Amino acid sequence: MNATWMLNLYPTDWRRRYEPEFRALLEEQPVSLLDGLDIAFGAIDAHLRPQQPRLSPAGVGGPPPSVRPSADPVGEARRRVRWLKLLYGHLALYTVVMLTLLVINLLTTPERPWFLFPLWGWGIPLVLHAGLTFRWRGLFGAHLATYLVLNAGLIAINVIYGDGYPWSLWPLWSLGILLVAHGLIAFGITSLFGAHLIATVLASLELLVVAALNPDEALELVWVVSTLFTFVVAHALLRANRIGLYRTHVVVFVLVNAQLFLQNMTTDRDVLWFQYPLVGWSFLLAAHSLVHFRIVTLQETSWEQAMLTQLAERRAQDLVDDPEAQVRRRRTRLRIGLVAHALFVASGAVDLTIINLLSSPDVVWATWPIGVWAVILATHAGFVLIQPRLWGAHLVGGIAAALGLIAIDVVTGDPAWANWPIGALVLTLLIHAPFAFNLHRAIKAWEEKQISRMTG
Amino acid sequence: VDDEERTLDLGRFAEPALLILISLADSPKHGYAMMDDIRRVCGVKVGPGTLYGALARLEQRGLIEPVETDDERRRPYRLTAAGSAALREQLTSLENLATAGLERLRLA
Repeated sequence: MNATWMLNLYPTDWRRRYEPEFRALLEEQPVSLLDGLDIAFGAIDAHLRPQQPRLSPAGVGGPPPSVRPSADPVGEARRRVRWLKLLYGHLALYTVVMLTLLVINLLTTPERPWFLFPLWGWGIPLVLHAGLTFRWRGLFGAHLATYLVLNAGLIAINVIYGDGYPWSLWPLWSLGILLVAHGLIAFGITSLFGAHLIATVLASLELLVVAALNPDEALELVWVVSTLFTFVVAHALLRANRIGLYRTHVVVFVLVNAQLFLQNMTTDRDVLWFQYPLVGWSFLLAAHSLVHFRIVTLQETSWEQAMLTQLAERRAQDLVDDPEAQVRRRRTRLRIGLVAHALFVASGAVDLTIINLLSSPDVVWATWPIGVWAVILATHAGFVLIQPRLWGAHLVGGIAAALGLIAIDVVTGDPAWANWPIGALVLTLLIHAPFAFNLHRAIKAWEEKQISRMTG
Repeated sequence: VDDEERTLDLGRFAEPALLILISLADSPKHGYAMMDDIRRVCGVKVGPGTLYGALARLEQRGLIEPVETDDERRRPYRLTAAGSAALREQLTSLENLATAGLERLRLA
């Protein structure tokens, strides 16, 4: 897997110091799932116990990586332009589809502006995409933009269609807590712990308001607040690093389960439920104990070692082979993947059909997962068999989806509603086509121009 | 507490830190080279997160230091004088331990 995105988990100071070399390390070797876990733990550790390097070699401690000239400026610019291209393509598609919907809306039901719903619904992933591309303060810009657009829409719906109850305030507050915590960390105002504490206080205030509005539920909410603060205590213990991860785990285990027990006893004594989380968590704690006391060690297994060696060898082979052989090998690998996928889907379809027939022969439900899966398989096949690959995936996947929609339409006997999604599909294909073929060279030229502008 | 003092309060990073010191004992190496060297020489795979967790601690305690370089994607590290001393001390104590163990085996 490509694990370079996991760099985002590390604190800014750490990244300023180690990002280039750590990125190189991740790019130089295949990263297994265990490695992924290891990186995640490393990131948590870097947040909880930051190490300030005493010695500062030349070039270290300069501006953050995004501004510092990278070792490979052309490669870096190429990556950025690829991101920009994707975003502008997304924006163009959004604009064309929305204009089409606006026209349809005005022609059919001008008194009801329903096109605002897709405008908003698609607008949320669009601003998220823009935020991820421009990376203002890491991921904070994306978070802020998504929060604003999401809540603006919810408030508008609340005002226009609501019965006076301001329900949109709740997501505004709840999601705002996460945003505030994120902002505190992104701007370096507080530590991770400080942000956690402030978020917990804000959440408790919200729950207090809920309790005031629903006095019957007040007791339950007190327990929730107390659980939230237990996690703050655990965080403080870990941060001080006085008792280590394992003993912190034990303390949290005892505190939370004692609390659940008390909650069970004080609220609904007739139904005992506290034992369920207790038993489930006990297994986790037992596993942690095994690792902590080194009864089980998390060493790599031999098959993983064998696979790593094999991958390294294949990589070395790729480097010596001529490019044509590489292309051939890639094509073969892609086709093998497709055949495996097809066999998998076929066996899954048979299984689902048998289960359907045995369990509920009157209700045919297996067609749904099989149909969805078939569309995914068709998209995969288009990608592998037709060039340019993305266009092929779009075309074949689109045809399969259209056939599925027509089938649903025919079976349910609904009067041709499938025309609408199929129309939209054809439209997106029409928009995609010039990008996939004619405009390709023009875009390439634009890319090169941008790259040379960025690198001087 | 005794144990923690001897291993410089490195917690779960004590073992990878020792492996890094051993890896740097003969020549400076960058991150990937260290990982590869540890895998070949010690037969242990250190994950990327663990490697850099241990590396940051060693650097902070002044046992290793980065070598000046233009290619910051392949920044090598080397042992400091304090690092050499700490490694020698740890390996000697391990050697004593091994000798004592083997002695007892022979007696048994």
